[in-house]
Amino acid sequence: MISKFLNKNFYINFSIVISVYFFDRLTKMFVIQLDKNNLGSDIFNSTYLNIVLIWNKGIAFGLLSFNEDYLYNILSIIIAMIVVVLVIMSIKSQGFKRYSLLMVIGGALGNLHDRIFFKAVPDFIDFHIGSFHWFIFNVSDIFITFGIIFLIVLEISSNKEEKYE
Amino acid sequence: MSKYRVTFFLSFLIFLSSCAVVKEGFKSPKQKTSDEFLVEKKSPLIMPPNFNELPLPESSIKKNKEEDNTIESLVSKSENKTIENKENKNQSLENSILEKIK
Repeated sequence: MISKFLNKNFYINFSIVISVYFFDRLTKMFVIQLDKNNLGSDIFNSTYLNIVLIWNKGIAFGLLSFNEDYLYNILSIIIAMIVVVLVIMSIKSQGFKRYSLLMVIGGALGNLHDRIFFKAVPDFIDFHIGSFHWFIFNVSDIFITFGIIFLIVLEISSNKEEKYE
Repeated sequence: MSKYRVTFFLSFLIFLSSCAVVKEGFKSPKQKTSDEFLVEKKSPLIMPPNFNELPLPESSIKKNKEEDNTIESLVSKSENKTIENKENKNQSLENSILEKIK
């Protein structure tokens, strides 16, 4: 049973998740170190991109950022449960859908790591046009967002194919 | 069915990603602290009412006694000396008068 599970595909899938996770960790560690060296000031400034370290205690768009520990822990448990659901979904799915799910899992694990060890997620990429700033995000957010976009596109396209048939 | 799945995926996106709003990120942490004007002022420091009635330590009592003894002894000695001096003076006067009478 285990040997059947540990086939070539498993190693490929696992390496995708691990590579996303470690790439995210490396960038976060690098930016945290730069922030320490710069004593909390801006790390990089340009006309369209700033690198500034900000700690987010909540979920997307800074929502649900609680000061109470038990609410924060409940939120972390919900996120961990979502990751488990995604893992089950990736085992059941195939092809490009699986790879997009693996991207989401890798990014989610990166953010979950920070939630557990730092009690907040470091965000540092700040795209802006003049004074208009987009949300500050990190590398794992990029993988999660693109993974979810791919999943939605696949879902819509498969639905259209079913309709035509 | 696909609509439900899309909303399902979008909810995953909201929970798993951690992008922050720029304004919230730059908020000063002072805003979350308590109101400094609601803190009650502490009353000024006052000496306890029975402060003078507190017992002295033994070593200081001994020292005081020793000092008293020395002072007493000094005073008593000086008194003795003055009496002796007075007696001596009286005797010398007597002697001088007696000598003159002779």
